Amino acid sequence: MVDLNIVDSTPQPENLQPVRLGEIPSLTSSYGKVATGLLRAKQSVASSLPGTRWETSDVISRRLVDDYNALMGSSGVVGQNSAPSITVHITAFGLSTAMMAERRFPLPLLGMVHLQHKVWHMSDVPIDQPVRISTWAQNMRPHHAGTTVEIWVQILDAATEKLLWQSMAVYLSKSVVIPGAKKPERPAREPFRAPVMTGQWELPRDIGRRYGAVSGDRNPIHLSNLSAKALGMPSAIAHGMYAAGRMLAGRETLAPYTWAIEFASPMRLPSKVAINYREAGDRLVITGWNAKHEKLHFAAEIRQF
Amino acid sequence: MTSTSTAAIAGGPLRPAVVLGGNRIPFARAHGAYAGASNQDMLTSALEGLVARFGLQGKALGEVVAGAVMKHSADFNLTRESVLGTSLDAHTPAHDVQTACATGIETVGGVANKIRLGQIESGIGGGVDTISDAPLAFNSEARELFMQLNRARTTQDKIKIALKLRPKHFAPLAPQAGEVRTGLSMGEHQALTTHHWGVTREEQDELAMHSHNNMASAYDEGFFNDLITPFRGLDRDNNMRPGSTLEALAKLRVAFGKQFGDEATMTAGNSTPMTDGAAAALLSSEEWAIDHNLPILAEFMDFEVAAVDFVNGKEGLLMAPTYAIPRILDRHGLSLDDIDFFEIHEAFAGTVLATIEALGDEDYNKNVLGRDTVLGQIDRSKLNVKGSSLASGHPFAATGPRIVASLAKMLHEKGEGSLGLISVCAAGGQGAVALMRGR
Repeated sequence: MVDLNIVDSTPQPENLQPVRLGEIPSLTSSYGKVATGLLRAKQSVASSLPGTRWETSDVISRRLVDDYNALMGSSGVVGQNSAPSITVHITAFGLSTAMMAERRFPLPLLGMVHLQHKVWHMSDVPIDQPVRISTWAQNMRPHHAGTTVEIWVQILDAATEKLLWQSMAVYLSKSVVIPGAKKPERPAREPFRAPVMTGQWELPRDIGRRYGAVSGDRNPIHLSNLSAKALGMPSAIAHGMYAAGRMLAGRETLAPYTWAIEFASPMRLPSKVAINYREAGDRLVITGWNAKHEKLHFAAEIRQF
Repeated sequence: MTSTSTAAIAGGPLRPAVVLGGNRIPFARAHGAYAGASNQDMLTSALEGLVARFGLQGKALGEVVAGAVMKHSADFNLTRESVLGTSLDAHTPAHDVQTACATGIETVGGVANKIRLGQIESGIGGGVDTISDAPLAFNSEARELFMQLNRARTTQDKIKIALKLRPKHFAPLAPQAGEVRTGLSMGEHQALTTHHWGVTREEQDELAMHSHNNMASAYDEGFFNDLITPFRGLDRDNNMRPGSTLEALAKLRVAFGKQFGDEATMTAGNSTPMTDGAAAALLSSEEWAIDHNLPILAEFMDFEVAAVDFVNGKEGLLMAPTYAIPRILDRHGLSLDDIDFFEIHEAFAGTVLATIEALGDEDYNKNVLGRDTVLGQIDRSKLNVKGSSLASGHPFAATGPRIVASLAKMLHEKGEGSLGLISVCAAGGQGAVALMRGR
């Protein structure tokens, strides 16, 4: 079992200038915008976040839920009209990405490393019914390897404004430093010792393309070795949120529950991931690693309330 | 044929269901002697052998219940189709059961329950499985495209969909070797349990050796003469290795649980190989047996199923029988000491040994099974005395009826009132156990 070090943070959506969008921009257009932006001046310092909160209305579509469940080989969540956590993330991801692709956002989108993700699945999120999606960035901080930022998403019932679901993703930009900020020391971590393997995932070569087709996230690092190498990766890697989906498949029950995942090293494609599930009180603790190289891929937990 | 008293289901007393005998075809290692045989071929042969042995040609039975774990979708009526292929009267109904390796206990138990309730007078419980002719399927993407193709109305639409088909859509999907929810094979799951219970390589090899040698002796003394009919050139299980030695078994390389390094203990020698085969057992009411002048070997007293929470590693995949055994014994006011023969299916030698360890473990009895007292020890001299699955092989659904027929004969030979306990573990964290009494 590996200890999770999820950032202890609370959402601060107040005092941000709302940016209202009629619809969610496609991820392809955001990545495209960034790719052309790359050719222009590359930022290396970041002073402040734009202070905006992006909002729109959308639905978590039945089609997405069906495709997602088919990919995960799961029959879905308990409760007929309740969306799996990752489909909520997928629906909102385009809005967050568009916000990060915007010129005023201080950290470059491509090359951003997804460090950790926490989701508060507070209530059932309905399928095919309008929800309000809101996303913002907060707490840009110096990190021993660059700069981190929290990207928050909140999903509210469109009619009642009740908060149904929220998430915090922590991203690292290695190429950017905050001027004047002191770089923290790299925290000491216990060397990874593999637990007993109680499960195993076979990640096929095309799983990045397949998750990309379902989620719309066709980041080239997930699609093929060639496209990944073009961006400096040794080979194609699995989407982190695919791993989160796999660990949740068949284990999502009625809300409320929270889950969190901390990514340690990428899962190259194709590969086998050794898995340990362990119950610890009200938590289910999940560890994923490469058995051959004794290398940790992720540590995670699901907590029922 | 009707019973003289009112049936239990109509308010009369429950009556015993008795086992008259059984029949199976020899079990064959997969992709070998039976490579060309289908489930229906094998089940029909096992049934017809039973019909011939008991002179049931042209007779209608109350019901034939059988099943297979690996089944083609076209075999939705496998048992009825097999019955129609035998010389039983075509008025004999049949149905299929599918509950992994517990299928064979469930089929026999279901027939026994109907007999006890007075719904039927006679029946056959059976099972069959083939690895050599396992169902292959299109993957879900291909299925989706073929379904779209089927739903398309215009030629243009059909062409559009057909053009989406790629070579990858024609790669067949074999039945999953592993547990769906963990991705681990059954052997890897058992390796976790074997390691957890500290079962040694030597103990497992010894159990395997006894299984082969016990079964070989049983063949030699003619025990199986009225339990097996030859099929496709085999008259014995071709996995059995008479004269198995610990030295030979000790030479085998580790097959499962390599993650435990030096502490890995499971080999191809102490694990059951993939096998093809079929088996069936004949049951009836006492009246029916007497009316037909057939011998009563044993009473099928009761059976019990259980399931465990294995998905997150809380319990071993194949440990469900440890939950079912105390329940069935308690129900009948029996203890392990009362049992004359233990038939614990050898999915792996480690399964049998971990089951025995757990039932005798104080902490497990108290904290896992919730018992005030320890269930007790199993006398090894009463365990799988005619050999079990490590020797015969294990065509999943056929194992239950194989054991029921053999145990009925053993109990009959032992004498009236002798008791036998069957334990069969199954995929999905399930298990079935049964109690039989000699006549």
